[in-house]
Amino acid sequence: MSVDEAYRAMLILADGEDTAQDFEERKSKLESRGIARSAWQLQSDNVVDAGSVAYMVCRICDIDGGVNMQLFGRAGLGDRRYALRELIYREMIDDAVDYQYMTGAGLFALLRKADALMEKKGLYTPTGIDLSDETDRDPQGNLIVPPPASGGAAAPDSADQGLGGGVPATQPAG
Amino acid sequence: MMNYHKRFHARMLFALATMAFPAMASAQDIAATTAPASQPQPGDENLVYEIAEVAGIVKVASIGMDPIKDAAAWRQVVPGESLGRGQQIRTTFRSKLKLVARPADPPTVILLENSSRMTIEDLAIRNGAAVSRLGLGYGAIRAGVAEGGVRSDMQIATPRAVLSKRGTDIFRVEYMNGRFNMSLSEQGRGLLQAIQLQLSNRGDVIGMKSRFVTPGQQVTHRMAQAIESMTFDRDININDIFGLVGNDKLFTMLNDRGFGFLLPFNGASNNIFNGQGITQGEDGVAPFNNGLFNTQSQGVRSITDGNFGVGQGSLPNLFDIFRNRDTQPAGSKKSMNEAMRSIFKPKARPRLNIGRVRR
Repeated sequence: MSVDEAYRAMLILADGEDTAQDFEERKSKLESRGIARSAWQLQSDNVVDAGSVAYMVCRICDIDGGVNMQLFGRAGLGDRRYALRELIYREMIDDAVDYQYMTGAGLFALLRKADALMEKKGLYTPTGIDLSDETDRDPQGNLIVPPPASGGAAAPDSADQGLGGGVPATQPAG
Repeated sequence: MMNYHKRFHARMLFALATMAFPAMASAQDIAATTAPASQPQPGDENLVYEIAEVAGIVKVASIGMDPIKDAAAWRQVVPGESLGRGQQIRTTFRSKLKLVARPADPPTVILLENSSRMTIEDLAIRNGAAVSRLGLGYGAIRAGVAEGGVRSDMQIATPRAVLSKRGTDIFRVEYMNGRFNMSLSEQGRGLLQAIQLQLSNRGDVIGMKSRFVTPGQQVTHRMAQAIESMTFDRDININDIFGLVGNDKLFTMLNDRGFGFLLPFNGASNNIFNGQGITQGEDGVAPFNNGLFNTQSQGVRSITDGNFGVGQGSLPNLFDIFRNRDTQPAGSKKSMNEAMRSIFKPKARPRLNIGRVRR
């Protein structure tokens, strides 16, 4: 993963979308919000390291970390290393060192867990859709099945008809 | 030719493992989940997933469509829409999708979590069972299937493992970056069968490990490794049972043997097994001496002078050297050498009549 791709992923994680046009705009956005640091001097085509990604994820997910991260990390001393250690402790990322390069699959796995953590912490409006013992069982412990939705489209009978079936989308729901 | 043999052996191993464990999913079932999409069979009744709730960007396309190359083939889903066999669904950040099976017998609810991609390989009511074969490329699926008039036959396949439901609600399977996690909720009913595929470097199935997951449990990608190391999981008593006395013996007995229930309680002279009574031992602790386990009769020695090493017994031969030296007359070195030879005389080696024999 390049730094540009990682910056784009961080903006999507933080805001749900990336409206920036180029790398410089993304960089200025992230640095102005304190998500990335200019002291890193990362270039667009550099391979992004796990420590930088971990630091940005910690800032987006509002993860304070431990004493070392608070004392030294805020001042820039071992900031990325302590951020990575924090994410390893939270089992959001595999055990790694901060200078290790970040793969696309590893970054996506991290962002997925970060997104779930953000919803849990209420950093964005929750979707309100759940399937758990607390929300989807009646007092007897039986599974609650939602009632049929009205106005449903005809069911496709085969794979060939699958694409054509259904109601065309007008706008994203939710 | 070599590759053909390797594949043949892998398939044979897979087939033998399936025969050995009837409860496991069949090879055909697993193959069906990894196939692009199964074709409808004669006699199949219609079964679809109806979209109950949608949040965020959730798109659907037919199986085989790439999200980037075939972006035009993907469209946003809306509540009430029905999805069937041969379709794939993907969710992005901050998005979820809840599906409900129609007809709702057995009642089935599926939740596709954020940043996930799921394929519907097979979906039909076939031979009196609601057959559903789902594939999870990445992300997580939660599902619940309640009891109904129709039997449910659901499997969710990931690239590294297969989840087979055994009358279960509510369970969750997650797959991401080569790792999977399968869990059953605390109030879940029934079992999950987690089947971890062991793949070669080329992706061929060379074996598999399977375990059942009960409510409140979870398994991860380390399952196969744990099963293999279970062979060596044995309790080994590291205590010196011959050299222990007093409280040490009591502690070992209570914590390592499970014999604590045999102890006399409250200072009584007789225990439940009608032992011989208490005699005051060292440190004020009664020795373990009752009708069933009489340590004295079993020859366990109590070393009262402390713990000398491993406690496997004394070294009589070494002490015999000095005893013999002391008992010999002064100046008799020859007798000393004879004593040494008698002590360390080589043992006769058994003749096995194998190999060359020097005559």
